[in-house]
Amino acid sequence: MIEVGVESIGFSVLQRDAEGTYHLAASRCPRCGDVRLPRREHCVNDGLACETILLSGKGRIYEAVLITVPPKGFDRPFWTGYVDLDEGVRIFAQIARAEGEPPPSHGQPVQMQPQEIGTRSVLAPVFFRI
Amino acid sequence: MTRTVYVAGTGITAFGKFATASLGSLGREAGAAALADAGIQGRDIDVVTCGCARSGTLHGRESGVGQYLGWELGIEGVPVYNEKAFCASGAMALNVAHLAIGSGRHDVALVLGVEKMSSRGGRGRPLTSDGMVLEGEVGFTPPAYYAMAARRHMAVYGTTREQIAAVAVKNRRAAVDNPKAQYRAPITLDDVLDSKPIVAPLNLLDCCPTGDGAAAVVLVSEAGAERLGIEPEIEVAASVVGSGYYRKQDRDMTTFSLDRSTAAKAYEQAQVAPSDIDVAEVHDSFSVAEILHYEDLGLCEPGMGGKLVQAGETALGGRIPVNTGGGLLNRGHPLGATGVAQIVELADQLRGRSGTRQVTGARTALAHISGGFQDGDFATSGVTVLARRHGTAA
Repeated sequence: MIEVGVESIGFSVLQRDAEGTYHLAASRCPRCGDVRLPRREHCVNDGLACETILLSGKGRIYEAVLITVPPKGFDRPFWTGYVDLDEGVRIFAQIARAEGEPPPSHGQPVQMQPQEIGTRSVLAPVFFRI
Repeated sequence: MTRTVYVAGTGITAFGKFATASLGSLGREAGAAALADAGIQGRDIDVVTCGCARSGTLHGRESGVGQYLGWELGIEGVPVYNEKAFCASGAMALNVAHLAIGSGRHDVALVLGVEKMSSRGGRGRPLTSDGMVLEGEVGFTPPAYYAMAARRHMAVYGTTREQIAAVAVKNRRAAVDNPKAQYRAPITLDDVLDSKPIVAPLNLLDCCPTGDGAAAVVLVSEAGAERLGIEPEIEVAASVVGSGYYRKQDRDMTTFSLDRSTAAKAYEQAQVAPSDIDVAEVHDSFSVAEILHYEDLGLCEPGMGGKLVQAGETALGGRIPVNTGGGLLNRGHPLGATGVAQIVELADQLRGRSGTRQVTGARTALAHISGGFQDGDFATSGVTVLARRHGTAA
């Protein structure tokens, strides 16, 4: 299965831990602690090589919108938006909306769960309200 | 910058979807019009700059569009700089020519902006963004970005859907009087609100079209004007571009530090204040963008952009008319052409030759454009200030 990031930036934004659970894989500067997603090799503040850390996947919706006219690779409307993660990074991702659930909105707490998305079934981080 | 730079001539093609046009035919038409307007020949040009964003993707011509257009226009043996900065490619070409003339290196520049997008596949779907390829994998499109900004602005400042739609109506009203514009039939607020939903709150009529077109500007120094025996009326009082600010991750999408930065530098360079601007071209790739940019350009207080357009202050006859040629929404947005087309519109306004859309007595004008995305911020912002030369008749 193709994971998000492989085709666009050359590596997956997801990584499994020892138990096989998927997490978002970010970079952290060993000096200033700056966390970046997708991970960067070098910190732009200190020029040091960064370490890879696995994120909690918890955060809050900054803003969410319903894409009615889907771009290439998608065949139906979906919710998407920016999520501010607890570790201080902002990620653009799809946001799940179950039947009967109110629309996603600013400030709602969310948790990441990898899901297959789009017509090509790419494995991507998707955020669920908690 | 040591020398003053002047606009000596402008030219523009009609914007729209033209099956038989090519990059070459579009650029040649606009370039020849600008040369004729300046009263000069291709052989008078010392340097060419050219903005074109998608020539590689759409036409298999990644490099050398400026050389190609120079070839079309009989311009040989001169430096040619090709600029690719997304929607701001034309503004970047203008900036490079401004540097070339202002530095004293060259005296007569031809700035070209061109794009032919009607041949692209994926008709009816939004464009992708080169700077957001990762986000694109999960469905990112530019209208989604602006729709998020719209929702934030509505939540924080109480901006209404009708105020956002009012930008589209105002700019279409302006395009009615612009024979070069892609869309000219008048529309109402209800037309916008009832058009096809794209990304709520934005509908089809809140989004700029893709299309074909070219625009061109001749820039000269004082020495160049003397050599050519011409007397240009318009001064480029400021030309500022900048890239985004990527370190900050939890950015506030109701205001953009990049645009505030380029605007502040441009006002300083031109020695004018926002209140001095008589007419402006403001990036309106999506209706809500114009509202956000009013605020970052200082045309109104933060949060007041919706009220500004609703009150008619940015319409022709208002305090500060914006997008008198129809804007990206209606003149059209052939990416590389737009930044130069803005200069064509404003130079016409300052030269008093805008006909039924003339802003009476306009002396100082501002053009603003945003270009692309990188890591959640805009990748480029460009601000240009034009001023009618002292001593020339209003």
